[in-house]
Amino acid sequence: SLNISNMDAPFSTENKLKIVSKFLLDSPPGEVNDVFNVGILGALREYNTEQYTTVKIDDEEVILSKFGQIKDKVDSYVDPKSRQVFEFDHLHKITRVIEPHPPDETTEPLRSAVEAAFTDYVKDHYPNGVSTVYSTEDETITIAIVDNKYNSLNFWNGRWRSTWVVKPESGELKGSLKVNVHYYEDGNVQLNSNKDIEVSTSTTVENPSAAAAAYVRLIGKAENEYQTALNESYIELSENTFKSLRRALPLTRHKLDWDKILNYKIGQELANK
Amino acid sequence: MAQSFVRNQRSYEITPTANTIFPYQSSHTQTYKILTKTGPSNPFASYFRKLLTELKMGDQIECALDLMRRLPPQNTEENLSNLITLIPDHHEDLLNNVDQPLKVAKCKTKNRDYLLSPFNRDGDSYRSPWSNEYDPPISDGILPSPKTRKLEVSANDAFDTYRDMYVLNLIENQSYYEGGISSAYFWDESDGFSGAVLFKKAWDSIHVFKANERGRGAHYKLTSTVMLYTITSKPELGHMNLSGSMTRQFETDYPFDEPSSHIANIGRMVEDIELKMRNLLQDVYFGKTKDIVNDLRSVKSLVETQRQADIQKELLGKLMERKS
Repeated sequence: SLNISNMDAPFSTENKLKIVSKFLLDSPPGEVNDVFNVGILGALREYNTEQYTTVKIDDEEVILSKFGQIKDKVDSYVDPKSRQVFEFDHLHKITRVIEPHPPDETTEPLRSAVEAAFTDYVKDHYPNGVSTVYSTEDETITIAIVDNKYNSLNFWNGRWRSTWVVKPESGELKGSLKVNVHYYEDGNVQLNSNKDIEVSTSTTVENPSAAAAAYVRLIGKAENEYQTALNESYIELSENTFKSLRRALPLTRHKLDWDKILNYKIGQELANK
Repeated sequence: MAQSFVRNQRSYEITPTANTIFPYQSSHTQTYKILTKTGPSNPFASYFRKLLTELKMGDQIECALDLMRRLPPQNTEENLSNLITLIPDHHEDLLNNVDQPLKVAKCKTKNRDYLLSPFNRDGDSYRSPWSNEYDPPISDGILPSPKTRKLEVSANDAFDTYRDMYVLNLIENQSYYEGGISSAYFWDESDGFSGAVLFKKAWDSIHVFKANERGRGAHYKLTSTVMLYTITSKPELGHMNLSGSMTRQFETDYPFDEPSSHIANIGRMVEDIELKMRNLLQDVYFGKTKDIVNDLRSVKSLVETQRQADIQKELLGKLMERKS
């Protein structure tokens, strides 16, 4: 692991702090201890991979995730779409294509059908969304989706991450949805929300396009239901938070007469004597 | 009446100094000392400590406070604990400046609830605003002067009434806690006095003010923070945590003829800012963050929405053509 004190001279204290700060400031942060595990580079790598940071490969956005990470070469990732392996320098944010990555012949027909179907799905539901579809272990297909909105000028940002693992033979789909929003103008307000979902389809994989379409239908429905539940919770929370208040103004409909209030208790004391 | 909005004022410039050892009350029945937690051999801790120690002292606090403002507010206790482990020399500043959910304790003497805060803390003990005594008792605890204590008593009564007017007791004969709790703690300054007014209801509020008497009027500076923590779990929703705090500052002058005028003046300021904060809570927590979620993903088909927008545009264009 990289020992910060061995780094080159250009990394003065201010720069080190800038890196760390940028790390924290650029996106809704997660658990501090989990992320800063092995020095700053390790932290950045883990953060980017966990948070589905995207990079451009051959003019297309690709998600950095553990599903694409090469074992024993943690800075190398697979881009299944362009069928290449690339390296990512987390510190300097530079990508470098290394070599071609021939796809698995058995799983590729389904994987590329799912990739095409989900490219359309993401265009249809995520304004700035990116998806990457992987062939993962035990012949599963993993779909990663991320959408970000950054508005540092107005002190807020947000991120939606979806991860769906498909078992084509059994038709099982396991999803994990994560939504994080950070608002920090004169304050620190965060939404951290997640849901795990299991759904299944009876569609078989003989026809990859038909299977991909079935997955899109199921996943679209599940994600819509989640988003609807989130919106409904917001309304409920708002009502519950304010229900214990008489109203925005006290019953008398005017603001309080503080001179009266001051005399109230004194009057009581006199009466009690 | 001169009014100005004060930005970037450090609330810790108007908090009192406290004794050396500090407690952190994790519940109103237990106390444990954060400092007894020795730093783990966590690479994060040592890396950050190295970074932070290379900064000037003032910058260390800024950095730490800035961190607290960005880390998940749901983990305030743990984050605070970790930060204090990293820069133990600044534990007082951190404790005094990081807003934590208000905890409740019962005054055994007067059988009333009161709120725990840095403002009524001395060492491991907390002072009840009702009895003016420390629990657990200490021999030389910081106390307000008699003049300031009189104001403090008056303030606690006044804000108790204020709370009663604004917070509904949903069931009759409910304990004070259900209808919210208020506590006011005052302390002396060389050129006036300062204080904190705390409320615990649907959300927690901390109002810290400084009062300077200037001739026939007084100048007041107020820093107000509201904290709201919500956790919702449901099968269709999964786990939803919407939490955090917001701060506003305010500065104004009011005339005053006698000491009790201060209470009315501060009361009006607190009432005004509480109303503003209530609206802010609604707008930010339940408005803005929700809007951002729906900016990230659209339930409706974006392709379909765009198609309909294009049709409308085309129709409008044709209409305009016809007119001319």
